[in-house]
Amino acid sequence: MLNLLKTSLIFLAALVLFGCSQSPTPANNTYSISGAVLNEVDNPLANIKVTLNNAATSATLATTLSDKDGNYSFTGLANGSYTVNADLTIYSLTVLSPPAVIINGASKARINCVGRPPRSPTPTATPSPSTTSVPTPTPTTTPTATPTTTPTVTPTPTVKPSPTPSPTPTPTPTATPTPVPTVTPSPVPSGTRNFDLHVKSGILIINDKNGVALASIPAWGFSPGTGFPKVISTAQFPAPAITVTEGDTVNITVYNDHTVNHNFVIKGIQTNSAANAEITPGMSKMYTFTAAANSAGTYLYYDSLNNEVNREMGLYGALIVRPKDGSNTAFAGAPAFTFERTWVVGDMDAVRWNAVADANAQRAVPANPPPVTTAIYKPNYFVINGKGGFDAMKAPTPLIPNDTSIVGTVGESALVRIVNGGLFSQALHFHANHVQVLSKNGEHYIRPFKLVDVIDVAPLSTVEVLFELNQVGEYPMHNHTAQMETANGVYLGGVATKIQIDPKPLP
Amino acid sequence: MKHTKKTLGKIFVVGSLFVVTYGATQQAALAAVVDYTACVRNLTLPTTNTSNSAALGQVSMWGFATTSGTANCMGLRLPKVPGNQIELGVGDTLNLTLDMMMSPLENAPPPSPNYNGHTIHLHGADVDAANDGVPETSKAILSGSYKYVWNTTLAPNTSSPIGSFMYHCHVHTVKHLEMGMYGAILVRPKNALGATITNQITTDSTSRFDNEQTYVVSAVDPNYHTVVGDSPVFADYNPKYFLLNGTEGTSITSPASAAVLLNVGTGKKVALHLVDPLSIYGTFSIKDAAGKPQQFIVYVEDGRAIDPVPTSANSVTSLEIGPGKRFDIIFTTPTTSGTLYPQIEFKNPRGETITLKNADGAITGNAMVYGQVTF
Repeated sequence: MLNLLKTSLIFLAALVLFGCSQSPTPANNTYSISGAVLNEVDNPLANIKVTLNNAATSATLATTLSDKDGNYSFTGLANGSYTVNADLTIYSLTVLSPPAVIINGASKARINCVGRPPRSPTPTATPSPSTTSVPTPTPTTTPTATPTTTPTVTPTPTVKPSPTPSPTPTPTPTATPTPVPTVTPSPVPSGTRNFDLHVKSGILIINDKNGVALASIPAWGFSPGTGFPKVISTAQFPAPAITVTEGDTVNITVYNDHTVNHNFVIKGIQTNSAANAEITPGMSKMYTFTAAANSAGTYLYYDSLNNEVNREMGLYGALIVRPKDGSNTAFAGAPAFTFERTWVVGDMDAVRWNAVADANAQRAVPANPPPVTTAIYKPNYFVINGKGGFDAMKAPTPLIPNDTSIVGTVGESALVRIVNGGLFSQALHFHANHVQVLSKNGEHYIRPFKLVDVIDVAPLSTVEVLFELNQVGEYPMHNHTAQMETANGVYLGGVATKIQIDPKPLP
Repeated sequence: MKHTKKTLGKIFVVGSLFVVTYGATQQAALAAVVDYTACVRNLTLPTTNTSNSAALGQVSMWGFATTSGTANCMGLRLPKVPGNQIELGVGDTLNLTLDMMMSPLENAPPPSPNYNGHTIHLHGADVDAANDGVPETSKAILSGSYKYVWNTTLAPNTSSPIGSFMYHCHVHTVKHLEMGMYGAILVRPKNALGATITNQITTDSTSRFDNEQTYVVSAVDPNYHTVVGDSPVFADYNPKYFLLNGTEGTSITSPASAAVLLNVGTGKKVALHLVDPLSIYGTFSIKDAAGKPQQFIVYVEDGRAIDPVPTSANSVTSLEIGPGKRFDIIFTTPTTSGTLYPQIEFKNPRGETITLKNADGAITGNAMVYGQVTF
């Protein structure tokens, strides 16, 4: 419990001001603000100091630390205007748009603080002569008087290093402080996006209903981290979702922190490095591509080496290309969504493959032990976003992007991006509603979209579906293949998650 | 009030059955209430697959005994795998009552959850949680009875359900589905007067057919039938028997039992309702004795009409089916008499053809099931 009166330090952290700092109604100190601290590729950041500020005076009202899942919360709050900021200096990141929150009779969840690297001077909105030939719109109309732009990837004009003499409009407080993102999409300027991934070994834990580990599976993963030194010490499951925008120049540097060779392939995207070029232990390789026009969609990246073993061990993740026009659509012509989920699904044969491959990798140098017998594959663990069903079905408040649950209100629609890095097909069955199939393996379908209640996602495939939330209640989404609903036979420990549809809030 | 509703329901049932029996020209209620009752009973499935000498014999199953009407399960009812087909017209309301009287239960010993009771999940119906039959989000039925209601006119069914659905138990599905607790539901189109059209798949007249057959495609892994609770056996599915409407049909000389066989005229349109409730992938095709594939058109997938309405240009000669999927298709028999064999070649989730092995482990062939249509 945080004592709000303990306002010892004063930070000038937040820049966002809200004119209407309504004098907090005295009683009712019962509300809360909660959310997660994330980096740009949606990975939760743990042990980060989060501050709660008075929006009008910038006075620090409380501080807390994010937990291991990046979650933070401030409780016991009264009505009023607040800003939330996170100190990300150890990651060399900054929260460019510290979220502004108005509490007026209800708690606020899902207030995420997203850290971004300071921009290299590339993404100027001015029509650059050489680098990007994309017809960027003339010296933008972007920073309209809309209150706070939602924390998207858009390089917000706040911390612009270049001294462009354009009349930088500080988003002045407007009359209505409701931060409803009914913004007409504005084109996103192209830029250079740099990502670092580290190949590491680690342990994938499948928990039971009570959070007790059913299995600890040796696994390998692509993990986030900015160059050297390595930021985290173990593999992450699933690998981070890499999100870029059409027109971006994307540099992905893959560091091999492991003992055997790896590579990096993005299905459907040609990178500068030959697809199967191997990265030897201790080395790195940079993969560059430009996200082409009309390439918006969902892609799978993975390690294609070692007769599918490297992939099976967990080396795969999702790459998302957002449309240039900044709209909330999977691609031009697709229906708009309210929120989105990315599901990275897969399977593991813990005994025959994982245990053998990992033991071999540990003594790979100098010995060259016999490889996994790949002719036999009997996976007994099945994961969605690196989780078994019991963890996946939990819908924590706030949801963080790695969560699998579809949680929303009637009338909303969820874009679900599904990539299957495993070796087994995933027959994903939605209760509560059919889904519209928007695309499969990069092929964009046209209206009317096919409606199905089981979407089959083959190995190495990607599918985008739209789920419309239109009846209140709690429902499952699960794999319809019996064994794939289990964790080594423990029912519901496999690929399953929760659909929770709440009534439409009163206006 | 309640009583009146019940009486109305019965009247509507009569109307609905009348229509089914005497065709589309009869007058019918616009939105009927269709009552069915399902009981759960033990039964034994004889297996005849001679290529599987290792495990010949019988498999213990739990089957639905499903009948139209609101009767209870007092009298011994004959269970079937799959359970009897349930039929309704689009716009109707289905009342499907699960009567637990004398139902076999799983009774897994601790520390496993016991997974007692049963439910009925109306797969693809998109009903609300109370009628969805998922114990984790509502409840398992341990005794007495429970009525599952599917009003086909309610949201989110505004995109009009049509064609094949299924009903199955959703308790510990790994076990209960495999035990045989599944059956098909067929939603038929209605004409402008509200009468059920019994010779079309969808409201579009190009989906008209002369004959029809429902193909519930399933399999049996005998190991799943002898274990209960959270067992590692359920992590490794090794089906041995491959079923079409509950019977094996391992070759064109030994197709699935007589109940599956169709005898139609030449040049006739035949509708097949393909329903895949279990963990089975496969390639569906229709071939003659020489193996030449026949064209067919898919009109409905997962209970939604393919839009725009398919034409002969959309004909295919094979179709991948998978767990939980349904397809409603039509093919036309040739103009000279002969025999066609609708068939499924089974695959595992890795996309590999499932092979049959003898007691020595030698491969004796591919896992197949054959139907038969003569004309």
